[in-house]
Amino acid sequence: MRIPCPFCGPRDSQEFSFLGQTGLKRPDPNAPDAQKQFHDYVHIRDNKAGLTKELWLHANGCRSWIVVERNTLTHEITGSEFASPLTKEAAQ
Amino acid sequence: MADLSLSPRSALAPFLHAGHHGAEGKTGVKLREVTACALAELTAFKGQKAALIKSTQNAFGVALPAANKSVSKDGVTFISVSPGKWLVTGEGAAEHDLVERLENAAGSLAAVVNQSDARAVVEISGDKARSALAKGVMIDLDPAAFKTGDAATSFAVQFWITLWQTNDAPTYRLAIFRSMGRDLLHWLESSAAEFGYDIHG
Amino acid sequence: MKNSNRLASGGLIDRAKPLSFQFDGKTYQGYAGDTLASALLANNVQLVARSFKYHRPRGVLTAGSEEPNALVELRTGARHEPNVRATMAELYEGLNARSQNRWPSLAFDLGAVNSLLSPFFAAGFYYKTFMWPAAFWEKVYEPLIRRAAGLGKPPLSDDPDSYEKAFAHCDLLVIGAGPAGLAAALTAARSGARVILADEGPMLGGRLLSDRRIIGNQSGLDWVKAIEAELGSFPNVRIMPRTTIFGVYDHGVYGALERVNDHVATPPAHEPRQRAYRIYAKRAVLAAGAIERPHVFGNNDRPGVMLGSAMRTYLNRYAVVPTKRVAIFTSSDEGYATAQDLINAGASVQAIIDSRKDATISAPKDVPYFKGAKILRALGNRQVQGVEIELADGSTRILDCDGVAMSNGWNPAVHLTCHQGGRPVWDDKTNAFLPGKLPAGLSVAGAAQGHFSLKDTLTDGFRLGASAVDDLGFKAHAIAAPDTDPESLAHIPLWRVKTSKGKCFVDFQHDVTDTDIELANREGFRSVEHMKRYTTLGMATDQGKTSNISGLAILGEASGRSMAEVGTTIFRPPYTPVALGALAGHHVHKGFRPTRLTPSHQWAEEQGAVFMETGLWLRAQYFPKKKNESWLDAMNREVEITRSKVGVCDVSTLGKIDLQGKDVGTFLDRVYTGTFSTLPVGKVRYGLMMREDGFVQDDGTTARLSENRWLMTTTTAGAGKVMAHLEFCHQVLWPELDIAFTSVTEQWAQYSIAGPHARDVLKKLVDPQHDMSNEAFTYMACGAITICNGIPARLFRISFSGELAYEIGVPNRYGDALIRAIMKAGEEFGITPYGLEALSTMRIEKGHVAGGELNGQTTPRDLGLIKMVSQKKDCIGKHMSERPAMLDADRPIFVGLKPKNPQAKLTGGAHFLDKGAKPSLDNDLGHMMSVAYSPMLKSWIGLGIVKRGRERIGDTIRAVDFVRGTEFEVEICDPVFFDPQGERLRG
Repeated sequence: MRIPCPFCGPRDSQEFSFLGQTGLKRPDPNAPDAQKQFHDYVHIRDNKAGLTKELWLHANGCRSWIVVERNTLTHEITGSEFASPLTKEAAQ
Repeated sequence: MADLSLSPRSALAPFLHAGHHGAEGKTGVKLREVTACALAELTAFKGQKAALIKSTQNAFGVALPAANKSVSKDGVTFISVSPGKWLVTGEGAAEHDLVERLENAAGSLAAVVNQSDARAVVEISGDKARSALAKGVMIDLDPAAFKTGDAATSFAVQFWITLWQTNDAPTYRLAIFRSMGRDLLHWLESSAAEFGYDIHG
Repeated sequence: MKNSNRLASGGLIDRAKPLSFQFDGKTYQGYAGDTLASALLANNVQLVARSFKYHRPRGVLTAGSEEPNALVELRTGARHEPNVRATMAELYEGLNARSQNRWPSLAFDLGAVNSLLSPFFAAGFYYKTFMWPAAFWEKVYEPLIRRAAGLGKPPLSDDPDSYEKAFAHCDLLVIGAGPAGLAAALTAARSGARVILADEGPMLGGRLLSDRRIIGNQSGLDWVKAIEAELGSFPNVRIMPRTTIFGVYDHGVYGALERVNDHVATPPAHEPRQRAYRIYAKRAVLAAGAIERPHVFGNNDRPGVMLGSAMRTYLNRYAVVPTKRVAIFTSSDEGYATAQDLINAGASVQAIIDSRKDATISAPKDVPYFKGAKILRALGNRQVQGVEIELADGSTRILDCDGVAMSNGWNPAVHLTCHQGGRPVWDDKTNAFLPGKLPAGLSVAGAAQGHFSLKDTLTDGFRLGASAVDDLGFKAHAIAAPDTDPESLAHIPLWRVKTSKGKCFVDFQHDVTDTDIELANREGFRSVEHMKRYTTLGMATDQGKTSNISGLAILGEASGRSMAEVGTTIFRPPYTPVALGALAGHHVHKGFRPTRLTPSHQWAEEQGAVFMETGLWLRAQYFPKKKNESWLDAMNREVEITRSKVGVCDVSTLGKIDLQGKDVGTFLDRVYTGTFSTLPVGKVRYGLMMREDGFVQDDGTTARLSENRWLMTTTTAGAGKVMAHLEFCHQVLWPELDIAFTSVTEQWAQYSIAGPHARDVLKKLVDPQHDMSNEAFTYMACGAITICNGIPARLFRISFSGELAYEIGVPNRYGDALIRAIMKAGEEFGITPYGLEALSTMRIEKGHVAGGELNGQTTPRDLGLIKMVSQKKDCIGKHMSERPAMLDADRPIFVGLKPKNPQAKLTGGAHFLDKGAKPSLDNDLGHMMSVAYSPMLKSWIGLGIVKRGRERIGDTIRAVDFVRGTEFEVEICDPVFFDPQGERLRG
């Protein structure tokens, strides 16, 4: 597998480590139902078959957390971007 | 207290054996440890990258390089390693004041961390350097893809590496965690053996 | 008898280089350019192997990597290699090969008695017979089966050769250097694209090496030579002979095996035997050709029965007439080409038996010719001695012959197209399964695509080579395929001879017959996937290259379905077997993973330290004083001296992270359970870090070096994980925070000096301007100092051992010198180095948590550290750690454990039960996490979690270890065994 790192370019997947589904927002710790929200945040995943957005760390590379758009049915990777607006800005 | 003086030792000193090794009668690869070289990491603070570029341009006479690039001037080399982060090497006169100069240039724009002792830096050159490196380096080092001044952080064999090309000989430099120096050398030596290699002390 | 089957001239062998070799102890002669198979056939050795299940005599079926029969053991001693295909083994001087799977000899094999028992060995036999008792499986059935069946024996000693891994990159990877591959490579190469051309054989040319063809106005061979020369002149082309592309992986990654030195007896010095490549190719053209299909008839496995195309290879490439009186069994016009080549070589074609009633091609003059006829069976045992044929009118007759050449059409080598899940599709026009959905970036040219004629093959190659690189922005010039000599390829496959007599083999390597497939169908295994597994068709090392399609056809026939309806199983990597050694490369022994050496490593080695691995690090476990001092004695001594005098330990392996920026305090408050933003400059604080799921992931200390600069330490094993976690928190959760962090683990060599004399030792090292007094440099203080005349250092007054202790860090280059200096400075105080055992004992005596307790399943509350969780703020994991079940009073909690008998050797992992309680999940009270022998208490002690443990201090329970078979009574106590008031570390 090769993963396009938005900073380094396409690299072997061996350089990356996988975290999981992206797009999760860490709940407001002061919300009245924070505990329930944290439970969902930690444990509940869509586990979609098909196009997904995943968080990967370019661990053996530039150490950027990136979002990779991947089709779990075909392994096709259709894009990637920095997970952080900060990293994105710093990369420009 | 005079009897308790500390003498420094380079990362690979205990493991390097100068001379010719591997296949007889040919030297496809030359290896040496880069000592007398200061290293530092320079990390721009939030939103300060542009200012940092300007400030280091004034102090060092070069612009901080973009992704996958390095630039050198007067013994100082800036190597892009992460968004907003550079590995900086200083040799010659720059060996001794690199960190200080960086701190002065960075001011409150960036974090400067002395890494002079954190890495083992090896220089690999020769017409078979590329073939030897290809036995572990996963990125494309063909001149069509990687040229003098190009740089990368990547994974080779089992090491997190920073790799940059310093001339067309070709000559490459490879920096890895100091504690893995012995293993790095072992890999480089076994990879270069079929081409014959010299180790320069 | 010397090379009795060798032609006087011709072939691509080097007659100036005769080679002698041994097979089953007998010496033979061949030539450079031979394979073991061609050399054996040249010497008229027909019987070369015994089959897998029935131990039937087997000869050479093919001339390529698809060979299912001629598997031999090659080389001797540690280099011995089983299951080598004789058709792929290049001959070298002194080659030593042996037949396998026979006893006592190849010619007389007692195992052949299995053949008489064949009714019992039919498909599904094992499943039905060796079912129960289950206890018999491991001890009785499996060894029995393994002895009776199976292939060669593995080598029993370490492989003395080396293997390598390597990486290669190209614009276009061309797989197969036959006419299509050469054409594709040439077009791409001329455009300037970077091309890798790989072929499993030692020579380029593919089928052109085996058939005498004309391309344009030159011979096929001359055409190959010209292209090879031109390709060789391009710096952008890399030709890789003896290289099999064995797998296609995601995103243009290809696995390749280069047999660098398999064609010589032993690799030259400094060279590997094989090299496994990972090739990154932007585009690829698969030009792997096709594999000819055998016929399924009685005794079709007899030595002397060969594929027609293989026979032509032996004739033309190796100048060998495999057998001299040949019956041609064909369902294709190609059988006639085989006949012609045999006649040209002076062999006798006994008959052409063409299964097609209305074949239109004419037979060579004077050759007996039967249309609409079939071979019912081959006669003879160790070699064909004739065939019984059935004519179109149903009558039978016996024909004399010593060999059979089969031509039944071709199966495109679609294997690699399946590696990404593509499923071949049946094509009625070509009577073949053609590539289905292709891996991204890969196109298929020539025979592999079912374009069998040479002209079509060339056209494909030129066209696809060009379009592949045009895709990448190169400008390839179209090359028109030259004209080729006429060929006739018409065929109607004959899937089996239904009226056969005797065993009809479909899968030669796994001894699967047509009746096995019928049986599978009768018993309901009608899906191809079920039939495959029930019969094991295609599951041998050849993956059914010669057998699968016939097997599918027979299944279709038996179940009344067309080929398209039956469909096909797919192929997985590797295309041909790959030695594990090649996949491992140099990741063997100590190269399996990197070893990180500490700054004091060399010094510790000199002291005779015993080392142990912690994560990747190699750390001193203990420092035996005499050669045979046990670890326990050494540990006791190290602890006693440290606690009574002073000791030193290398703690450089702890992760160290430099954090800078104005928001570091805020950041630390969010990742640690405690509050750090209030930490004064020059102070250190202990921190506990949770994962978001509420379990503790790591602990350590963080020092505030200046207003905006901090230094965090992590556990040795947790360093990498913590770094990634912090980067996640910064980049993904809170990018608004202004912080920058950098790992400085390797920058600093750090030693802990602990014990009543720690300050005395330190004073001798630290430059005099620094005030080291207890008042000036208090417990949990930190600061930048200089030592030994101006060497910059960092000092932290922190203690893991519970003693007065300092950690002193210097730039790593001084690490080796500093340990020597500390030992020298400490000499007058009786200093000892201490290793991990003593370190661990001292922390257990102090009740500090470490690896055993930070196991990813414990919350701060479980570890008795709930007070470390600030209630004034949120942090990672806080909410989850406070879920009701996590705070349940019945949830086991951290305590100390002391055995009633001080000498009772406690064990980690032991479970706690009340006295008299039965061992059950309901009665389980918790478990032991860490144990040590405490020289201070003169007793074994342990740390663990016990249900309501804090309320039960003083109670006696049982520590039961079923794994090690021990049970001890232990008293629940406070986890701090030693110096509970903590007076020593503040002294």
